[in-house]
Parts: sequence; structure tokens; C-alpha cells
Amino acid sequence: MRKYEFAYILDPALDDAAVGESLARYVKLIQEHGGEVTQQDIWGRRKLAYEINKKTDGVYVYIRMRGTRKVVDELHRTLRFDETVMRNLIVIDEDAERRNAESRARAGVNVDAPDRGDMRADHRADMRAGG
Amino acid sequence: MATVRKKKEKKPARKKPDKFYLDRIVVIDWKDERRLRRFITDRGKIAARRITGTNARHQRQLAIAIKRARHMAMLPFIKEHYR
Repeated sequence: MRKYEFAYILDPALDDAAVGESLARYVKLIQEHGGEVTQQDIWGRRKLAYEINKKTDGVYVYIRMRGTRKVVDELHRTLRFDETVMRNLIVIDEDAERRNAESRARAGVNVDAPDRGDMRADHRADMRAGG
Repeated sequence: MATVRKKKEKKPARKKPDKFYLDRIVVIDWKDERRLRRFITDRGKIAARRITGTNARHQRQLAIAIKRARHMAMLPFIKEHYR
């Protein structure tokens, strides 16, 4: 058993009920194949960085789970035929949020993402200084 | 008559701190769009280490995270109609 992150983008034409149904279907599929869903979120509708199938928006769904290769294979198989899913990503879950939070706590850094300014402008200034 | 120009002095480059180390980031997250955005150029390319000061290990992780974020349309592959 490994931990996975599974995210996908749904067609923006779907209404909230259809989105919920889709999520429930995938949760069920994972469970049927011996997986365990530890988190399920609907991130909601957001703008895409580029057009996919002539669409500029998508509904993001995010699932954290534990399972075996079998579950992942099954998801890939199902996703291939699900025409409402525009994109999907299944990757090993490295618990980024938790581990980064712990790391910050250990170091006593409590700012999540301080503004580090414009790194490229800094670089140009360095080059002018003869570096 | 040749003017003697003072040779431009080359100071050794100031080592830039690794931004992920400063923020104590141990896992570079593909979901952390706000952070990743600071490591791409305005054309959408992954910024060079030389520019951002990212260390080698973090740069490798960063590249993977940016590619995942691109796949999920959270970051652009290229910015068209630039300027």
C-alpha cells in the first residue's frame, strides 16, 4: 500500500451535483479495489492556464488515498473513458503540506510564503555589480 | 590616442540563498502554485538556477513540480501573445 494524490479536472459544463457524483464514483471505485480514501476535496471552478478542448475553465477535484498499483491501474483505465475528465494526475503523495509545516515549526519560521521580491531583478542588479 | 579605460573589476558573485531553504520547504509541492510562479519567467519557462539561486537538489524537485502543475493547467507551458 502506498499513499497517492489523485487530482483531475472536470468539464466546466457540469453542475455541482454532477461534480459531486463524479467524485463519489471515483471514491467508490477506489474502495472497491481495496483502496482507502483519506481526503476528498472539490477545489472548485478555476481558470485554466491554457485552453483545453477549447475550454478556459475547469472544475478541480482532489483525492488523497492509500492503495496498491491495482487501484491506480484501474483509475487510469476508467479515466481514459471518462469524457468529462479533461486532465488527471496520480502521483505518490509526499505529504508536502504536513512535512513543510513540520519543517517550518522545527526551524521556528512561521511565515508561509514571505515575499522574496523579484528574483530576476535581483539577478540583473548582481550582474551590474560585476558578479 | 587610446584612452586607457579602467578594467572593469570583477567581484566574485554573491551567492544567492536558496529560497526553499529559507522557507524551510522540504517537499516542493506541485499544488503550491503561488510559490512555483515565482520560479518561472514571464514567458513561462522554468527559471535558471543562476537566476533564482535555487540549489541543485531543489531545482530538480522544482522542475518536476512545475511540470506537474503545467499538466494540470495551473501554470502555462508558454505564454503566447507575449507583450
